[in-house]
Amino acid sequence: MKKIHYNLARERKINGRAFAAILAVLLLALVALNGVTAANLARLHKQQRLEENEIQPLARKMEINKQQMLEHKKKIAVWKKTWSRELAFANSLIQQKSFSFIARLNFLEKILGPGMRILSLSIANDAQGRVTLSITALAQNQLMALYKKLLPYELVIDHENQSRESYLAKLSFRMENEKK
Amino acid sequence: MKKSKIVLLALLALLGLSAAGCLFSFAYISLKDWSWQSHLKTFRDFKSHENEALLLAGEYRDWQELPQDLLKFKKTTIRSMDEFAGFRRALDSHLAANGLQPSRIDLKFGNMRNGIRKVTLKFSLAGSYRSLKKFIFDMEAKEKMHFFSSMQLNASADQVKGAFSMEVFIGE
Repeated sequence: MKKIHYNLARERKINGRAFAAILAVLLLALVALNGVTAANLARLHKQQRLEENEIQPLARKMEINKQQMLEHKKKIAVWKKTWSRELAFANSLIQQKSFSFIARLNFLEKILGPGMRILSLSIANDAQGRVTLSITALAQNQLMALYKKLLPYELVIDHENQSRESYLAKLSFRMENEKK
Repeated sequence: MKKSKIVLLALLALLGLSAAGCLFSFAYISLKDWSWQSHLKTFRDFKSHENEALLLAGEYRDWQELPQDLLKFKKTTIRSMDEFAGFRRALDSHLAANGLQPSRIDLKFGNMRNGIRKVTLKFSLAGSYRSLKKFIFDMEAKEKMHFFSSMQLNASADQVKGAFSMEVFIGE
């Protein structure tokens, strides 16, 4: 004989496994989200610590430096105004003192070949520092060799004459104003 | 309400809060990153800024010490009027040592400038090239502030004639 069963429950019966699975997924999501949040907070904290320990002191130091630089610039401007003329004068004296006539004579002795002779020589201790000389040579190729050696020294050949026995040239060149 | 439903709703509410918190943390991090970049720029700029500050500090020290340096320069290189007499004796002795005898020496005292007076000497010499060169060498070797301002040499058959111009600086 067939029995009749009645379900008197008000709500549907919950499937225990499915509910547990849903709970587990929710919990996992919760943990994951909180984990990400915690990681973000930790990163922020680390940045903040770095900022407090390193960046902020640097920024403060930079600010102090800027103030100091500004003060230095102001003072330097005043000193420049006061001392620049005297400084320029002292520098011009030092520059003229460092101009060596001996270095120029030695240089000429070194570059002149045999059979060549200097007739006149003029050296001025000025900003241009040019050496002007008249020179005779027995052959033209000797003069050419001399010109070649003087090319790096802003050589200017004023004129060149040929007589029966020799060649005469008037030229000038420039050497740097420093002792050799 | 059934217990299971309450638990579920509570969990969903927590999840919603966590998601909001997580989103907020990302938003906050991007905001902080933006300011962090400017801090990093400060950090990077610091080195160049420090170099600039060091250079300026060096320049500052140089200018600060300049009055002392100029004073020292004057003391060590500029002669006093009394020492100028010593220079004249030294000039004569170097001329004599090299067998040179100028017919005359012209002296011209210039105006005082920055506490320093320029004295121009002009003289002509005749002798061997070697002796003239030795004389120039002797005079150039001195530490005090004098120098040849111009020189003109002319070669003749047996000797060299030279016209010299010198400048000597004397203090107060």
